[in-house]
Amino acid sequence: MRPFARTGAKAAILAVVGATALAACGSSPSGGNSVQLTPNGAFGKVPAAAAFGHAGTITVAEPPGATPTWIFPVTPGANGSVFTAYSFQYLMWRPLNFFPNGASVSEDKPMSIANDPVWSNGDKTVSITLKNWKWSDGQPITSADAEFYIDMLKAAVKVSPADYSNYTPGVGIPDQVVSMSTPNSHTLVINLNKTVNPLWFFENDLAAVQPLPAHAWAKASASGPILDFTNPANALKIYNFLAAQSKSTGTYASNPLWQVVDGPYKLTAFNNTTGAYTMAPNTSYSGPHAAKVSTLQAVPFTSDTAEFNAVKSGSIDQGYVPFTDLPQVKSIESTYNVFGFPDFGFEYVTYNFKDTTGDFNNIIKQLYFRQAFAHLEDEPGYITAFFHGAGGQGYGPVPRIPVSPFTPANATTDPYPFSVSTAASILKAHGWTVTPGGTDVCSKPGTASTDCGAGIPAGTRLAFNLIWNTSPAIIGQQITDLVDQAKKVGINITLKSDNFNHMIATYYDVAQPKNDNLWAMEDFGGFSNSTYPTTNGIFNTTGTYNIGGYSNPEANKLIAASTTSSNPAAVKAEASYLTQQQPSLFQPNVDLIEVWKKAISGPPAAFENLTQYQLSPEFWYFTK
Amino acid sequence: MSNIDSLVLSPLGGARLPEGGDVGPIQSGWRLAVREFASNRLAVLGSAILVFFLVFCFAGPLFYHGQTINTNLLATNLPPGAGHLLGTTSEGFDELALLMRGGQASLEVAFLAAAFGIVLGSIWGAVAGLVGGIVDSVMMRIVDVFLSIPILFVVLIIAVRYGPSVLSLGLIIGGYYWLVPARLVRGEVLTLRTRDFVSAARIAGVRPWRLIGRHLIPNAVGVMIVNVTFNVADAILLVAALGYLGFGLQYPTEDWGDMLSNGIGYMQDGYWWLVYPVGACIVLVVMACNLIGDALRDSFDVRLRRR
Repeated sequence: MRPFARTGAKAAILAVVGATALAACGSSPSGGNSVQLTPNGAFGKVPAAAAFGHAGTITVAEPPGATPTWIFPVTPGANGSVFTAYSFQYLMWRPLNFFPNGASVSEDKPMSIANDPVWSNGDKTVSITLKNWKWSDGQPITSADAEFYIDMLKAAVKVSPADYSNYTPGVGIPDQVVSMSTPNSHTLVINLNKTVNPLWFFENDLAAVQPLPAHAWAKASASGPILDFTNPANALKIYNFLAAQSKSTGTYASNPLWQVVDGPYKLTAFNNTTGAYTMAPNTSYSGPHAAKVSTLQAVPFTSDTAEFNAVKSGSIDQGYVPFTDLPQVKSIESTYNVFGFPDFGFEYVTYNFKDTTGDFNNIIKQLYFRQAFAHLEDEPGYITAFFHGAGGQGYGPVPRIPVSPFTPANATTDPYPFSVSTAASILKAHGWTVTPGGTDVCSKPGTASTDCGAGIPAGTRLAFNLIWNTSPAIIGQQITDLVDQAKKVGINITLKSDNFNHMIATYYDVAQPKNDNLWAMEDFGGFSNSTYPTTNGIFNTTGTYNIGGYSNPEANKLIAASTTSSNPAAVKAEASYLTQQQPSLFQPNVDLIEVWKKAISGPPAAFENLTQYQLSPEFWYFTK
Repeated sequence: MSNIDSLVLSPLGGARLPEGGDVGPIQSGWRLAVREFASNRLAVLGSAILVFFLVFCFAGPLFYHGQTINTNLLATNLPPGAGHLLGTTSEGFDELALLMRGGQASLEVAFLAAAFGIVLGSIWGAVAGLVGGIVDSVMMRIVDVFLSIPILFVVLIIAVRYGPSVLSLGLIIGGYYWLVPARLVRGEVLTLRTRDFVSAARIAGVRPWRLIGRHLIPNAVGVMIVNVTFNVADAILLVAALGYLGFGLQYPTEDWGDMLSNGIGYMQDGYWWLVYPVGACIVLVVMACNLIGDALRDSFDVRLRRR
């Protein structure tokens, strides 16, 4: 459901988490929406931690296509995924500041290597203080190690912008870093080229910095000397060496480089064909963990069906429930704990503001039309009927669930609640002759408040197309209902199914402006987002992911403020404005449903964050 | 009584019977074909199934008024019961009513494709067979080239690019299904064109198009009819495959493949009513068409008629 992701600390390209076709296998023919419905978007609950029993080997499921492909924490775009970053690299190399805390939008401070940054010089200089953590070889983690990571990023984007998956030219780390200094072994000072919004810079960029063991890695060959990585020429050599090592997936477990870690685990086995891996506890880990850390074994699956069959047979300790199998949850509840929650981000139907077919560009520019259209979406109904209760409403770029300090007031209750009659009234009030079941026609052209709007001549019909992604099935289900409701107010939508890759390659104003008149709306899924949820890149005029060519000077100003002003509420103002403006049709967010055996326990946050693609097995233990 | 017995028992070598068997009253080829078809139990079964589905799909909605257009989020995935004889879908549509409506689209596309294919193929094959020579070679190589292209690949591209409808899918599929009829009709025409009645028509000055329309195609109609039935079956499967892949007809139009595709995801959940009924419909209609096709082939081909 999150095919796209934004740049930022928590953003990496995510695979489509879809409902896949399942092989026939009978079970109780219950039918109906028989699964539990819970408030606030959560599905099930996480039990309190039980008493520690013992450590052992914990097996976790790797979803299809989610096996890690890159070990060096400077990850190219082609290898960037939450599974590679959060479920693999983070177990070995921790970020400066760990987000989220369970399923809540906040920092897990005990898990962070650094304290919160201190800003000065008009928010152009930031000072970071590291805690007294150690590498697995006993060496202290120093500020130079954090500096080393940023220098590696600089070298990577020099080789190719595609060599850093979260790179945005000119924005954030590394391009905005003018200079760095390490006044002592625990302090890193970064000077930026211009004032930034501290929260944005912290949560989107700084927190994701992963100190790297310069004392072991800053070399240009396996047997070479340690080089001064602050010299750009040396940095380039070092980067090329480390990237080359990372390409050699067959040596991941044997290469001594990758055995120097600061995370809770060390890699002991890696199958570069299947992606299966085993990790042993890092006995020198400085962060919080269970009384005794278990060995971790990641088991790959080639299909959701195979994974869920493994869950049903109890052959893995931690896995997930594919969406179409939600009605079967009861059959595993005696063996597994179940918890589902949406991740940070949003789903949406993208409007094409450049499509001149039937004057759609002029129609969709009208705020009243977008608001009327939003009234046709029955989000609570979708969550009940299609999501089996496992989801949360999303009225804007910051969804209602998960609760975030950046959630604006107008995103907590539906500003445009489902009401076909309201949608019809809005259209009538703006000069449209509404024909339920037929096609509305503009009968009052003009620019007055009761007219159709600029560029919409008399006789213009409300008829356009919508291209939708066939996977997962819930996209089609929501779209079907939307089209049905739209028809009731005379908005005639022609559907066309497609697949994600073709849609992104074809119906994308930024990349394929020549296709602008081929589509009016599309639903490919949505975006994953960072805990600081600016839509920079998505709804600003020049955004790389501004798929439908939305352009609004006020939105541009607010988005810019989110990244450059010192106002901590800037991103909230941005989200509030976009929720009101509806630059796209925001949809409810579906839960990721995670399961783990009842015999395994730990702090609730260590299981809740599974729904945010994080993996924290260092906290898990067997209860008996 | 066998012919041998008759001969032996016949007094004074009475009336001799032909060696070929009993001779009935002289009947037209069509009557013989119909009689042969009717005597084939599988053909009758196939016809009955096909007629049942035609009635079910096109007359059924007159008597059963389940909801298939307006979604009902309060009645999704309901099991079969009093209000919904075959349950409801994930959008709250009545499954039985949707089967009827989906069947309409599937059958319409299939018959349209088969009709379009047979018309185009017959003309193409007849022209190639009648003219012969280099024209025949070129026309048949074109057929060979098209036959080498996987139809699913072509139909998928066109469906994604332009969006499918009953008409467009029928024409697209029919635009591929003319190839085999073209070959078969050409073969028939190659044998027919040397017959005396064709020569006589030519000598009488009948123009080529009239020759094709009045003399050649009517004499190849048996082959054509048989091919139509197989093409209908193939087209139903192709439409189902397209729908299964998610690129079939779009809401509010529905076809059986879409229904199967939507239902299969819920198979492990025990929502059997979303899969088995529509699967059975596809299997039965395709089987019926094939049974009819086999029987028609036997009926029209004198060599395959039972003696």
